[in-house]
Amino acid sequence: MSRILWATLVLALLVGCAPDLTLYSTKGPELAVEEMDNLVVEDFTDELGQPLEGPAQPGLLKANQPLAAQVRAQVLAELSKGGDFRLIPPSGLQGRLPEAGKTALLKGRVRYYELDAQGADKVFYVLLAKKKGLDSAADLLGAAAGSGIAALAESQGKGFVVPTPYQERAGALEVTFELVRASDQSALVAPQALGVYWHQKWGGKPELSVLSPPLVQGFENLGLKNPGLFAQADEIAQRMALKQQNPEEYLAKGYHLNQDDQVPLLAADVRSLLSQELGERFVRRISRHTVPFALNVSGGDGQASVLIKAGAFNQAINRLESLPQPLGSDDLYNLGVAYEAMGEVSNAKRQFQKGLDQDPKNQRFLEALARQSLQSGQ
Amino acid sequence: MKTRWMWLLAGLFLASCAPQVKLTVLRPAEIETGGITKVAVGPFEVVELSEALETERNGEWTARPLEFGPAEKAALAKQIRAQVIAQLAETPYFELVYTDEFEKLATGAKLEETISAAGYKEKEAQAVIAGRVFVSLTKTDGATPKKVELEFVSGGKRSFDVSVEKIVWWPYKSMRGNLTLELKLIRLVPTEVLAVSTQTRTFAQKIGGAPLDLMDQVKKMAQDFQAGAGDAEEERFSLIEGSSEVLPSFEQTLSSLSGSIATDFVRKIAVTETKVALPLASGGDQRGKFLVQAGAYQMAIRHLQQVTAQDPKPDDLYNLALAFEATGGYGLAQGIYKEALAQAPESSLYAMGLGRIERILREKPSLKRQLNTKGAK
Repeated sequence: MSRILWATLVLALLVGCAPDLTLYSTKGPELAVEEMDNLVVEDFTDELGQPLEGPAQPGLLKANQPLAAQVRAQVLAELSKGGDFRLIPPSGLQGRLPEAGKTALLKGRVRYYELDAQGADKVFYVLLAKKKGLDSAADLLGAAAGSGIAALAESQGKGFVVPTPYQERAGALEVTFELVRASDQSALVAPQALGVYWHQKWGGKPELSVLSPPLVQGFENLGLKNPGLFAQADEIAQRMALKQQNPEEYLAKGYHLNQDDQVPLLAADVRSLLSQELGERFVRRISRHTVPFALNVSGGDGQASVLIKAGAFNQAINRLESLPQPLGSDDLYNLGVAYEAMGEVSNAKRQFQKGLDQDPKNQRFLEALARQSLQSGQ
Repeated sequence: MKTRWMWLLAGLFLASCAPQVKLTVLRPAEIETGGITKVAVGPFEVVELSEALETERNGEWTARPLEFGPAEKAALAKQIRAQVIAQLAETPYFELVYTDEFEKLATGAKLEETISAAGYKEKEAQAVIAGRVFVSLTKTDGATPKKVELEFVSGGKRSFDVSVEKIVWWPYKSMRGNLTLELKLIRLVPTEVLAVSTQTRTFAQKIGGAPLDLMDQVKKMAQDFQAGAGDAEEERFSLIEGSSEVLPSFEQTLSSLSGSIATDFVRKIAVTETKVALPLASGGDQRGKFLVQAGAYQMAIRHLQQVTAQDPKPDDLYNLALAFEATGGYGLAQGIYKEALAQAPESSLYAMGLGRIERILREKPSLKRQLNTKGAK
């Protein structure tokens, strides 16, 4: 029980600043793509041995692992979510081909570099013996001084040398996509080259790497970042609530599976992480997609606020519309959010505009209006 | 900030200790599959399968990859295929067509080729599901060196306490698994990929190892608390419990990873029955609460209607609305939740009741359309 209390307390502390509500907004494709009814996603090709543009400088890395099948699978899944195209299997071209003028072909050339290294770094250890039982101030001072001296000596290569195991993994995935008309192979958009990168080391000396320093720096600059502590805590809290309220969905999402982050990722984890990220990024360019928006609706009328957080948007609208007018800034914002959640974009815009008229520099209303414009494709 | 705290604490309390009532609700498919009623499960193909046992001692790593032939890959593909069939069989949405017409085709590509060929005529099934699997599992046995402070105490008159640092090798065993499953629902005539899901599930567990620093301890504690099954009856997943002190077998891990993805896929393409646990109000009339908790909804409604007619306390109103919700009286439930909320305007519990009813009413048209179009089994 004490574990539960501890976890609850710590989570409560971490989640205190998390958003109240996450809404998903639909956005159009980032690129202007001529409307096509059908899309055939051809088999992607692996370009093993070919140089990558790389996270640091072109040519430092060469493709050493195939990943075309997984990247294609992720792109297909993302396209299926968007629903902009009728997806036709490649073999459909040999048989019952739909109207060629309304059919696009998607091709992909994949270059994937993978680092999967294990070994041991020589780590220096200086061991101290300390006299205890002094008064607490002297104890603390002695401990701090001792630790400082030991750390300095270790950094200068003094002490016992112990081979300390490490695992280091990196992945660099670059794909060039071509979207062409099935009828004459002419390009629908210019070829799209995308790259995603990731690097991490577990154990050993963190400052050492089997990669060259520019590459490590390049991965640091361009690599995908792990979610922060607040985001992790908020996710754990949401999963715990789902576990109790809807155990089947909890299981279907795989949240019951243990995820000990002391265990280094496998090469396969890096592959799926990168191919998923790249698939999402590419599909955003050519298809409709949803974007999450984290919102805070805690201000204003208390009842309207709890109703919005509970997903009772209609009730919240009724409540806010029945309050004495004109509404204050927080209530106008919450009313706009409730309309937005119901998909009533024009009503949402009206409320956000009223809020902006009251306070022309209010960042929340500016962001909300920008969001509505994206949604209505303006 | 304060509200968020209260929400979280209230939520966790409700989730862990409060009495609950379990209901089965129908959820509509996320993807409209346009008139498909008869579905066959076609070939499943293992594209990648790697398992390895790694050992590390004094910084020396040895890895022993396990070799798999076509027979092992086929057995794994069959196991995952069986899980998808089991999930589909539970939905009232599709009629499963048991045919070997598609299974004998070794890969999804061959399946697509066959059904796309001019002159192909559908027999019993209107659509077929094909799968591709990528699996990687590794078990590691190692030891991590870490400095620890050992304290020595001697008693007596000239007592002295000293601490001496030592390097200790902390043995550990860990396991990590990754399974990516691509599932496609393909309409036969005209050939079209109706839905694709490519999902990855991972599993990682470590036993032993060096003591964690404070932040990692807190994180691990929270993760352990969150992981594990929410409902003990979900044995079909061969659950890997978060609190387990034993590493699971490869087979157990694979079953859990693929079972979870198969369930998620079926939820996307089919109307599914979902069990949800809803919190009861802990105050108010005890008899009414127990009747709702026991599932005696009609008795609870009669009793709580009498109780609330005399003294409409918000907790009793909430439990009454919950009983109406459980029996499908959503309109009545909505009205009574509103009455409860009017008395306690900032109660998240009562607001959640209204939120649930709104969601059900929002989903109702698509649920009705899907069930009517498809003709439930």
